[in-house]
Amino acid sequence: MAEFLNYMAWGPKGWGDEFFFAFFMTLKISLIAYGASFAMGLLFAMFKLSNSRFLRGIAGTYTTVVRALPEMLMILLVYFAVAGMAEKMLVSAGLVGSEFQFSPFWTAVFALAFVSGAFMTEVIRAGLLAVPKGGIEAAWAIGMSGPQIFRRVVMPQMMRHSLSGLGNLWLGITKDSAIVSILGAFGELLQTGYRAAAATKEYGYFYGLTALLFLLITILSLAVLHWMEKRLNRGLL
Amino acid sequence: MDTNQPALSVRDIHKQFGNTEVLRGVSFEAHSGDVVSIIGSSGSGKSTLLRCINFLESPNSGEIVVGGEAIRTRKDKTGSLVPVDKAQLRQMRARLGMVFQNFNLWDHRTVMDNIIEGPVHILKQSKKQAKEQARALLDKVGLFDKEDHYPSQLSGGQQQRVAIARALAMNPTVMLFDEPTSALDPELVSEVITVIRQLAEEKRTMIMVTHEMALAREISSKLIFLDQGLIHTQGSPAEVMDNPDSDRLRQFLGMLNAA
Repeated sequence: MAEFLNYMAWGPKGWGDEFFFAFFMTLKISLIAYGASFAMGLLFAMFKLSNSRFLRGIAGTYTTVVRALPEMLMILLVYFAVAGMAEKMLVSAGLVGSEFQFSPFWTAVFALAFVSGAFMTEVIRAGLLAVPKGGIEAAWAIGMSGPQIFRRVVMPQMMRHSLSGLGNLWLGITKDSAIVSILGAFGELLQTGYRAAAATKEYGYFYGLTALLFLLITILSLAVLHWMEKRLNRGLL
Repeated sequence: MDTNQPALSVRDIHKQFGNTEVLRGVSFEAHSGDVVSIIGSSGSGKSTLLRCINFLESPNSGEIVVGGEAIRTRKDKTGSLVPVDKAQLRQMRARLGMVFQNFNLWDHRTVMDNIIEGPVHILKQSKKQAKEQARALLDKVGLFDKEDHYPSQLSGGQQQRVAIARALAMNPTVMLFDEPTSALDPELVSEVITVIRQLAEEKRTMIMVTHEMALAREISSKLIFLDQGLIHTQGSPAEVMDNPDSDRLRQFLGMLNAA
């Protein structure tokens, strides 16, 4: 027992600080990737619902390709191929110096967001379609502007219809954040667990601890989601 | 506003959906305090006409003038009129209070929030002032105790009365009613009619598309019978309903009596 307490010591001798920071690193990767994924989902959902065949084509290709391929392959592709191409384009456009490289952290987060964004697109698209047209029409009729209608009428109702899907994607992304450990050492939970287990040979203990910390994230998330659901569903029978 | 100026002029409105001409040149005026009821069989274009007034549908040609100010438009490449100045269109829409067949309240907001949304976010009134006004309006439509309810907690008749209060809160020049009682259960129709009748007594300028012939006869200063996209007959309710001057009108009125 004392041994396990020693393992959790703060500082160079124990793993306490590593797991503490890993917990927040996983949260940080997840939150940033989720935010970016939400923005992408909103954008591509609007593409999908637009009148332009071109925009619909782009969004359709994106969601089909991304959802067809294994997530890990997709993340490797974005990380190694897409980021590399983007770097070359930026360099040849003269926007950045020839030594320019995206930081591995941001590339990994973007890769995660890019994959999740495809699923997000579908969740948000369905949510947008479920917003009653009559309320939007009433908003035009009273003299609201397009952006006002989006903010005050469409978004709150879209969120209400999308929340369960959005919640699933959030829980998904907290776990997928572990996949980025194949791209580099960012010190998130799974990698920290792996390192601790390998260094001490206490596999059961450290993988168990890692599992508990993921579970903690999920439990916290469920509490937040439950609160949001109650808030968003006010007035819904 | 010039008192001789009509509150609303609808000038030679044409509207096409694909190859179907729904409106083929409709003009009428409403002066301050007028109640104009538009009747006609389904497909006659009466709802489309109402929706052209606040540009929920873009007419293909014609002009809408509210209190002497025309909605400024140009033709786009599909042949529809589009507003030149979106800000002007929004201002004009704010002066045209619309009440829909299906109420179209915002389900995610309370009754109070539905009513003060326009005054606070479009007319830029203070919340306090808007709420005071909203309470007075709720009192007027008989729903003083419902301000914290959500639309889903109200009956259809109550929702429609909230929708009327929401439109009135903008203090519009003209109220547009699009079949305000058609989606209601029969026993809820009268509570909405009572409110509309009261507005007519207060000399609100109103344009109403309706099937409620008794109401139209009672409160209208002018009745318009729309048929196949044209004004077939117009005049006082007595002129139009008691001495129908054509087979089509007789047929339409007869169908209503039979039903």
